[in-house]
Amino acid sequence: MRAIIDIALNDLRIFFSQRGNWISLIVLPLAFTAFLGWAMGREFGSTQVRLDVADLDGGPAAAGLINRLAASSDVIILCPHENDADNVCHLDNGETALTTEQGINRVQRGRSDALLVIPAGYGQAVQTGASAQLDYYSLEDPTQPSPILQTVNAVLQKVNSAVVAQQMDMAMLEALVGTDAGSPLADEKTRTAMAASLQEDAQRLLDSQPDLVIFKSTAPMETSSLDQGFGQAIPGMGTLFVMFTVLGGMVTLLRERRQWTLQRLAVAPLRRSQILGGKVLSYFSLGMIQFLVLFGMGAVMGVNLGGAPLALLAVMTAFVLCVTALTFALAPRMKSEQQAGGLSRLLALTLAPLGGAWWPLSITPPFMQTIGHLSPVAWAMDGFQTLIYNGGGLPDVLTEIGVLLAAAGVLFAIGAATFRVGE
Amino acid sequence: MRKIWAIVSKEVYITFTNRNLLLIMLVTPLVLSTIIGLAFGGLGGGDSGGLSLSNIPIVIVNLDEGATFGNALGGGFTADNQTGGGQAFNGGDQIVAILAPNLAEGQNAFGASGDQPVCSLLPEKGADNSRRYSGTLEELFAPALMDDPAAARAAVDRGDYAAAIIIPPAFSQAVTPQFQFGPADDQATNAAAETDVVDSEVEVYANAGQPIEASVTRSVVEAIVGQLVRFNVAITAMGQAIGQQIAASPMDLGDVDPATVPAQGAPLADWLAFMEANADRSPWFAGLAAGLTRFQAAASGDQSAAGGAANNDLGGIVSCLFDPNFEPIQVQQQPLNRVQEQGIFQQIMVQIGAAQAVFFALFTGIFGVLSIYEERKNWTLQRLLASPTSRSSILAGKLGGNVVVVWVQLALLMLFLTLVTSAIMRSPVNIWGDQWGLILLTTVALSLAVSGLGVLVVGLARTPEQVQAMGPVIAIFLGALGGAFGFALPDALANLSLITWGVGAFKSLAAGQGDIWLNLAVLFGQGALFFVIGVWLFRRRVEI
Amino acid sequence: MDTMVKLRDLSKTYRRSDGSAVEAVKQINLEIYKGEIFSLLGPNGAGKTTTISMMSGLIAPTGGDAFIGGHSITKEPMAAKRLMGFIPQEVALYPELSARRNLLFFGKMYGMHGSDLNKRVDEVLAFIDLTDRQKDKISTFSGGMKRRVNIGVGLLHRPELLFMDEPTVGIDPQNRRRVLDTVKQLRDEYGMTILYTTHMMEEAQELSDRVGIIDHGELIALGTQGELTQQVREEDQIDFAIDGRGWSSELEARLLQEVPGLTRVAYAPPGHGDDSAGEESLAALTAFAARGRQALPDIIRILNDAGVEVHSVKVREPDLEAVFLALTGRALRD
Ligand SMILES: Nc1ncnc2c1ncn2[C@@H]1O[C@H](COP(=O)(O)OP(=O)(O)O)[C@@H](O)[C@H]1O
Ligand SMILES: [Mg+2]
Repeated sequence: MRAIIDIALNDLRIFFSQRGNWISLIVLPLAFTAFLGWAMGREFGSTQVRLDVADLDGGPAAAGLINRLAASSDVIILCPHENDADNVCHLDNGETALTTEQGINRVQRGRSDALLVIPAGYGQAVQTGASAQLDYYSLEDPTQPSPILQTVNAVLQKVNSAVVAQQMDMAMLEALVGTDAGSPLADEKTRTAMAASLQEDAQRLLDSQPDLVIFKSTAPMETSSLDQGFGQAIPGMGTLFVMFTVLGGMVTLLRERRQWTLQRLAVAPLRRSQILGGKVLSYFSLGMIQFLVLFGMGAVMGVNLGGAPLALLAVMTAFVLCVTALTFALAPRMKSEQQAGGLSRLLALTLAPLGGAWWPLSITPPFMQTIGHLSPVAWAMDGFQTLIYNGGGLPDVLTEIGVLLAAAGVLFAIGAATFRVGE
Repeated sequence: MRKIWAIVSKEVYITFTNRNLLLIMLVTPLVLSTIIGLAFGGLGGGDSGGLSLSNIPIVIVNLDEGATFGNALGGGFTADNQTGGGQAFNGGDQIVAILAPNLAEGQNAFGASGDQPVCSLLPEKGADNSRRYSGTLEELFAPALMDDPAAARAAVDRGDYAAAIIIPPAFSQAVTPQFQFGPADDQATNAAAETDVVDSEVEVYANAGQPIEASVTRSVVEAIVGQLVRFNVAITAMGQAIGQQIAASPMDLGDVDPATVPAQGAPLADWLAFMEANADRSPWFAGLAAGLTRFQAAASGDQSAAGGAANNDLGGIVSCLFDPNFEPIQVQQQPLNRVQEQGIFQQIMVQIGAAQAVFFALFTGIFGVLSIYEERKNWTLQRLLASPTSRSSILAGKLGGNVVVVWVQLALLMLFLTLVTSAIMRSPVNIWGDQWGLILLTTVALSLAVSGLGVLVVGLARTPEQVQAMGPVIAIFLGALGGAFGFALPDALANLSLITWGVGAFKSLAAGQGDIWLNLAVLFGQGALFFVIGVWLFRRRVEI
Repeated sequence: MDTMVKLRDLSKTYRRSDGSAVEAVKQINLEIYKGEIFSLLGPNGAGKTTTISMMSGLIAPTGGDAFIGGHSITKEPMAAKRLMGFIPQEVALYPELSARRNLLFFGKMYGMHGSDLNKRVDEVLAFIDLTDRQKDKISTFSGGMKRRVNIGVGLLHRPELLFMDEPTVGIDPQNRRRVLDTVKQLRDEYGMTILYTTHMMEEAQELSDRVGIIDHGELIALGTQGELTQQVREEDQIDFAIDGRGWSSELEARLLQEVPGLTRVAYAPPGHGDDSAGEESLAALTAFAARGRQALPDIIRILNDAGVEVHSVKVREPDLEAVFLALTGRALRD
């Protein structure tokens, strides 16, 4: 045991005697995480987005829609309607109305973030319940949900509700009192007045309708997609960096053989298991150090890390063991340091996204989730998820830990059987 | 010049005959791009790309006690006379029926089983109207039912479910019209506000660890509740509008005994009796009285008195409230350019694929320059230095070789990415657009910037080992900023990464736009700056 | 004499990845006695490193066994390894660590620790004359200094037996001299048993009490230097530098037939000859004859007749080189 620890300590001493290793193991990951954290905590300039509206209808219903849109969000600036003295809309010539072409041009030039076209006949459609289609143009990132489109949809749902209510009411009334002569609805003027009154009432009722859905969550929920990215950043980036570090052990093993220090250990009165144990312990320790530094940094920055630190440690341990085992299972197959370096980068950079380190696996199709669980990262991320967000404890992550340890066991068996020092 | 060229071609040859280098240069980003493509694009093809959520585990607790809006309408309105209950309505059942059709025991809002009547107001019934969520909801959610809200919340806490939807006992009450037959006056506050809202809110209790699932669930529930509210709104609005019309219509109530006028909110039967008694005083009284009687008869099964399908009509009309197809006003995203036309999958492949390509080129740039140290170890560098070749030529050759290698890598990767996309979409596409000149210029600018960064990093490091250690981290850093990992950062930060500028240019080109001069200027500028500083630092270290 | 090391049918067959097999060491039997310097002499690729690696437990033999102080290296590796020090052909040190740290670490691997280890490291540093540079990283050392630390590590645990695998490869004459003196000092002053491998005849000649000659994995000769040269003693060795263009196997047959006392002829084509061959086209011809000086005129005459130009002639006493040549027909440094 003493020899194992001596070997591991010696490796760590060598590792930390290199300034570059300090940088890659601790400084840069820390800087990286801190930078992301700082980026989250700040507003970058104006968070307002500009939505161009081309009102081809021009009627009161369209104006009502624009007013509702304007009232619905502080973040969205309607252009040109909400332009101000500073020209927040970045209008070229202070236009007061935009055409579709102008709007498209502005979106393409980045002058505005999106364009909504209210078609001619919109007012008519609202009156009669005929269908109408508003066109939406934007160059928004297709990988992120669009907040503008969400707002527009929410407003339109209310408009639709009013239209549907009015249509239904009219139909119902007609069914009730008929439209024959003598019926109060026989008179076209009364019908029109009735329709207008119904829509107005419905719209007013909808506007004063309290929210009937309340939203709660297990923990304060980040609202922007950016924060969601960061919610994953610590475990996700952690697993990536750990894989880089630990899989890099393949290169170190080959280098040790090249510089014959490994052979020197082999001729010392040590059992093979002691040498192997020492090497395993050293890469395992590096992985754990890196994880702990990252999570520690997260804790200092106030990131929610759940309430079960020991279980968290257990998941980290199982993951690092698994990656260490993978390192030792592959190392004997490597022919050159360059090949080992290439393969370790290949593995780190594919196992991480495959296992959901960069985006949650749940947003991918089911078959990708299945494939993803070939990567140890997926199991680790599941475990972190349970502990950090679901308030889980050790019993809740036993499956994940079990799978990682089982994989580690198999890989270690392969590694131990093929670990060669001499030939 | 010829010597420089000889060194350049030697560099390129060595790189592309080295299987290990090819592994990291080409295989890794390809595998990764495919993973990204599959993650966001699915296997199926171009149209249904984007976030593909499915089987979101949710649990529904339906405590809704229902409401009988017949009561509100005055009782005796429906067949349910015996119970004195009127028409039973249960909004909670309706939510369950939509979210969990397989678990809902075939019930709908009106306690009826079987098909709901088809909305009779749909402009063109049926097929090509795209359904907002029915049909796809079945795949979107994996629902379960529970009775105990606390147990459901605990299950969400445990992560068993992404969200719990808890429908309170008074939910139906809140969305059922508290109908007032009378003119809308100042006291006629709107119906919903009168009810006890606190007990009537549908709670979506989500797991914070699954924010995307949570927000999807939330918006679906909001949409359903928004539709249920329509019923309330429609009935209330009708009541108010009729009241207004009656008030506005010519009638003579002069000799009516005020005591016989039903109070506001009085049962509908009272109003019916009053209207029948005074039918000659207003066309509304006559019409409504006749109509209501007819419906009452129809509801109680007396078809002969009801005049046929009237009740069915009513059902067909009321069902429009809940028909997801009856959304006359729609918003539709229109493509702005070639790429958007081709669907979200291609956009993602252009965006993330380009970012990945540059990200991996960074490794080549950095480790390619590092090979100068390798050459020094092998003494081939000294051999070169001893030859009658100027030091500048040697350096220019080595670095030029690196630029060429990076360029070839980028070009090959872009080719492969197009092929991968074509394979997944099962039809040949060129995802990069056809402005070949500008594409070439962008790749050249990127090669320079990437190689320049390599020189800078190697120049800044003290030892090759430092580069080995720092190189990947710097690349990951720039990759994350540049969106190579699927999440986007604010522009102010993203613009720090040369990847952002390169990807921006590729996106514009793919979209068929040519306005990439700023991107090119930034890339060439960065390249030149990196090269100047990097070479200066590097020469001090390697004395070349 | 006590036996320190005993090899019994020690063999190693490497399997290449393409499936072919390399018999690197073929059933070697030998004994090394306590307190002697034993040299294993052979050209590059002869199997010296393979042999020494098997003896030190670095690689497993595919046949036979080695006994160190009576302990089988395959069955009781720990006991065997404790007895030996090992100095690999490469500089086997951590370049990132100082000389002292390297010594401390490997000392621990031999079970030493505490002040005992520290004192021993001081001694070894003094012995290899690097006390003043002990804190410097190995990566800053010259080749000779690295070699000295390399040797020092092998001496740390005061082994009775030392394996040295070509410790002078790639160092300058001064440092080489130093290594050779050290080896002798270790035997003379510390009574160590040393197994020394080399491909340089001069080193074996200078150091060894006994020599084993190995070629193509086979031990082809074994004994004291006297015993070995005895094998070729009755014959003189005559080295010719000739113009290789006229050489033929008929000429060889004619020489053996017509020159009385000539026993063997060895021919090395141009470029393969020993150092004395100055010009490119010169080939080396070595002849062994019972009375060399009498045979010489006949040989020169026959060569002249055949139109083979003779550039130089040297008659010399037999040495290890001659033994090797006599046994294999090739020069040692081929
Ligand atoms: N790991 C190995 N695999 C295959 N062949 C090997 C291996 N190591 C050495 N050899 C071969 O075994 C023979 C002996 O090598 P070695 O013992 O290193 O010779 P020496 O040390 O005398 O120069 C050589 O032909 C060499 O090519
Ligand atoms: Mg050797």
